[in-house]
Amino acid sequence: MASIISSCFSWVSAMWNKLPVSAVVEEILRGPPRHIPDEVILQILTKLPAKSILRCRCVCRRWKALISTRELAELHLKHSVPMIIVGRQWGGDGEKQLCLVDTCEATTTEILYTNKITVNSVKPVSKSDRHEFLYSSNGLIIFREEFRKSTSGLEHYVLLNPITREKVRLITPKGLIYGIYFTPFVKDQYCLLWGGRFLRENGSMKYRILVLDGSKSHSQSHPQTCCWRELYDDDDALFSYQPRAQTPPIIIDHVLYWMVGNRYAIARENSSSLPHIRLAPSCAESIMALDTKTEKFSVMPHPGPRDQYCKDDPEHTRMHLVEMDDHGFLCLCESSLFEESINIWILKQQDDRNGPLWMRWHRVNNDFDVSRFPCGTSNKNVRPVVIVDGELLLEWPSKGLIALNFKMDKVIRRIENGSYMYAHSPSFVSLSNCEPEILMST
Amino acid sequence: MASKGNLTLKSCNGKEFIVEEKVAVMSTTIKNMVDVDDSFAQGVIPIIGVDGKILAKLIEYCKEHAEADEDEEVKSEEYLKKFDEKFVDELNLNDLYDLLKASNYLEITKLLNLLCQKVASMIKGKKPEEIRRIFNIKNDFTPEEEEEINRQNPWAF
Repeated sequence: MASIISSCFSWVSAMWNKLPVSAVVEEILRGPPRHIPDEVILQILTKLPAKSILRCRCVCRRWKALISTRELAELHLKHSVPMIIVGRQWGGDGEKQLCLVDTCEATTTEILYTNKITVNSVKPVSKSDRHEFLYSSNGLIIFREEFRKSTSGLEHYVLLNPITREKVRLITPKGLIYGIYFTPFVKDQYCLLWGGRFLRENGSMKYRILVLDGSKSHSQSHPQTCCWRELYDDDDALFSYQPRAQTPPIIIDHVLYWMVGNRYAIARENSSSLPHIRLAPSCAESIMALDTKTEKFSVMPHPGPRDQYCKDDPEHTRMHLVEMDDHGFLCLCESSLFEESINIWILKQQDDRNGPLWMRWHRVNNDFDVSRFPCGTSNKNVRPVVIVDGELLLEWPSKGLIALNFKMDKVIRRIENGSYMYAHSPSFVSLSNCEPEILMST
Repeated sequence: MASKGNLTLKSCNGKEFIVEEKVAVMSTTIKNMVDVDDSFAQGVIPIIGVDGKILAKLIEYCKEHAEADEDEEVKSEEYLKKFDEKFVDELNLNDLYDLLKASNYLEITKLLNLLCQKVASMIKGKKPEEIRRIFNIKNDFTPEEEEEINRQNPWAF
């Protein structure tokens, strides 16, 4: 019996010896076998920060080849530990500078720049041309070209994609790009979600999706026409919610989440000269989601008590969605109106039948030691940026980026100051090398 | 011959281990063998390319995790985390490589993940020549090529 089995599996042993082909040669040359299969090396590399990966390219030819694969770039980006993009005024002429702050390697209150971002990959066309960083999502970065905004009736964007190594210059009708995400079905395809500035006749928000195919080679000289696909094209379909301005969606699995900024309704006759009125989102519809598989929007309630609390803050400005690193959880952070504390909730599951299930996860006191970090403003405008490595990073007006440690339940350091801060998943593929430029116009 | 619910695993140097089925099937490779063919459940499963010492280590790991999966109260997440830490800390370099290969071949995903994390932490922040020494890899670049890579290396945003 045993002999039959082992003879059945003799191919395994044959394969086992064959797997690391170059290893056989290497072993003859240098003694002990320390050859690890490619897939294992890839797995090890995905767990490294971007800088370490690049250093590994010098190890040997085989490693360099592995690091050049798009497969690794994708895997790595998926597991990438978020860094923080900080925007600051720089110099007298109002020039802005972006910095990327590595939160993991910072140890004390020391300010650490891993890298100064010279936005040389988005060279301005003219001197008056200015790129305004819009946000980062899924490792992709989008800039808005400020100077043209007012002159034409169109919006100009520049998009950098480290996976497809593309730079896309995009011209859209008036409106905003609310999200960028990789399509759940097709490799290398990524989508932009655009929301119009004006509503439809029936009071529904105008949303369109543009699919960009990174696997196709685009011709550089000819502008391409965007083929936008309308969402909620149908007259009966009504989705009248708009995400909060200037906040990128949190992407968990294949769902995009935002806090609702506005809700629209058709005004009753005579009540207003406008056909639509803007309303504050109610508690039951304070979070909106887009399932990228079905391309359907939905709204859901926020966790926690609603009563008095939300009456004082009808726009829910004290609630923010953030992502928790490597768990892929959606969290809602709520800075309390009455106490100096922040409540954190985790979305456990999103069930069509029973609605979302939120779990209270943590409560941090932030009535800490302001003497260490002067400018004792209250926590009113505190905005959580990301939860990474057991720390909640907060953007605190006039204090900058503050790290709160959950285990110690206290602030452990001030990291950086700037006018805005966003989480960014860094890829080891340099965004400066995003070439060629592709022009897409509407 | 193993009793019901137990499997016999045989290392490449002939050592036999009798383990509970739930422990053995932590390995997807073994699970697939047992699922496809019942005779494996009674006979001896040869684990090719894995010696007795490494197989014992694998079984030690799988046992802890299989028991924890069964009863969360006895072995909490905290306990497992500590066990994992101790498990990888006690490994010498050679065992680490052998376990990496074996857990990849036997598809013990959790363990492979843990070991990759350990290796990654060893590599992190190291210079290429130090990494080469860890893996015993020969530098097959010419000095010119190495310089060229170094030149294009700086990680720009």
